[in-house]
Amino acid sequence: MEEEIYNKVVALIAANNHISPETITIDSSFEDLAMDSLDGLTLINDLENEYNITLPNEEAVKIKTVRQAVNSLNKIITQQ
Amino acid sequence: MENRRVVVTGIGSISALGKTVGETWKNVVDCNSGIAPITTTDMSNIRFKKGAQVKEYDPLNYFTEKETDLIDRFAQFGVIAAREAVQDCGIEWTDKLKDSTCVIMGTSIGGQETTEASFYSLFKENKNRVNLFTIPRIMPNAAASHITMQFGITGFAYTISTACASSNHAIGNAFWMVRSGMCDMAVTGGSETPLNFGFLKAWEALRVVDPENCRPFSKDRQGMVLGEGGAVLILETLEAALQRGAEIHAEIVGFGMSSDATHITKPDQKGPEKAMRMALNDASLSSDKIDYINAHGTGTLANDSLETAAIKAVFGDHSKKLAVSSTKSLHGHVLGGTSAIEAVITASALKYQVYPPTANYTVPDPECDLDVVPNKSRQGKMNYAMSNSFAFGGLNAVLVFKKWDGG
Repeated sequence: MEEEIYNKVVALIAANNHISPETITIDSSFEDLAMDSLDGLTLINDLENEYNITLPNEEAVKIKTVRQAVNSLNKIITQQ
Repeated sequence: MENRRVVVTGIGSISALGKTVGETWKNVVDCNSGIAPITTTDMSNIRFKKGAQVKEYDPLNYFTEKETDLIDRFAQFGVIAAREAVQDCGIEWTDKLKDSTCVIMGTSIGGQETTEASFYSLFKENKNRVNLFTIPRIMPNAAASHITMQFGITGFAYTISTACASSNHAIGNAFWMVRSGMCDMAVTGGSETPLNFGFLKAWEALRVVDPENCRPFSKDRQGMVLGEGGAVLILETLEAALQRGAEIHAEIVGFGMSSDATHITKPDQKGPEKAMRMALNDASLSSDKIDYINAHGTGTLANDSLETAAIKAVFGDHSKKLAVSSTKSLHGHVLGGTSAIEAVITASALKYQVYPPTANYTVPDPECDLDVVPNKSRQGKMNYAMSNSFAFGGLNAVLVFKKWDGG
């Protein structure tokens, strides 16, 4: 599941920010990828739509890296 | 031409705090917040439930049925506030005065309720035609236009749209117009009605709305709470006001504005600092004269700490002495109409010598370590007050008011 989420996160970041998926790794921060706060929230909103889940605001605004996004999503999905 | 002194001789307000200035001010003094569950929109699919809605509002108490067909709720609030302000100032209209009066209003989104209803009928109900009045109801200048028609005002009129700073920009522009002699009187303020499903979903996406309550400057704050309403001020020269024996609420002495030029939603410290400095400079006032700041104080994590830092940078040691409160905790964030409501409250604060409170204050935040007048209004001497507005898009507008002491 974690790998599937990772692949989805990479695909969404690449599509939303018009960058190559090859430039994205699990260790990439949003800052590394030139993503600002709105780009980060767009990713979270897209992931919520994709997996039909809801991340609380206070958790969503803390996500600043690919790893944090994958871990947060994985945690919520496995809890369901 | 030498600058003329400009005073506020009429005020009107409608918001969650009440449908008149009297009700509004009483609820400010008593720290009764108007924030409550939103009932005008189905909130079941929205993550937050609260807003600052005008309570028990029936447009037919103010307009004929035919008028309500033509005038969206946001413009209705503008007109209602203008009627109260005009009545309050006690002016007797002459053709000459109508010709030299301007109307400058602020709104962020105009007739959003109409936008949603009309386009719902197209997209969802597969209708082929929209309500004929869709455009005149939606257009952001509708409130300003209806105010001109209401009183037969034939001077210049326009609407300013700078998101959450719209009505401070409107009042500031009107102040400069009267001061410079471009017009003799101004009807100015703003109105907004953002509590509509689509628009609330758009705010939900930005994750800046507190799911519980608006708690400006508190450590556990999580964002703003949206509100609806409108407010209007009548500005005229001090000379004219004295000549006709008008009651003066306060004097406007300075206006400043700036743009951050950094990010479309993320606030920056330098822009607000510049606008506050410009307003002080415009008022020929040193920063230590300010007793009270009606803060932008949205309750978002970013705004409140950054506004605190900006105030400290501008006011230095004096920031420890002045009082700073966010009345958005009472009337909600009325977006393009919010600064007008705050201007009415600031003018009343000077008139009655009462410091408006920050409601819902919970836990102190070391990054917001100012005197925020927590949870209780306070009687005290106040000569000068500032009102801040810092909008999405990095557009900032700041007004400085002075107590009218007869001189």
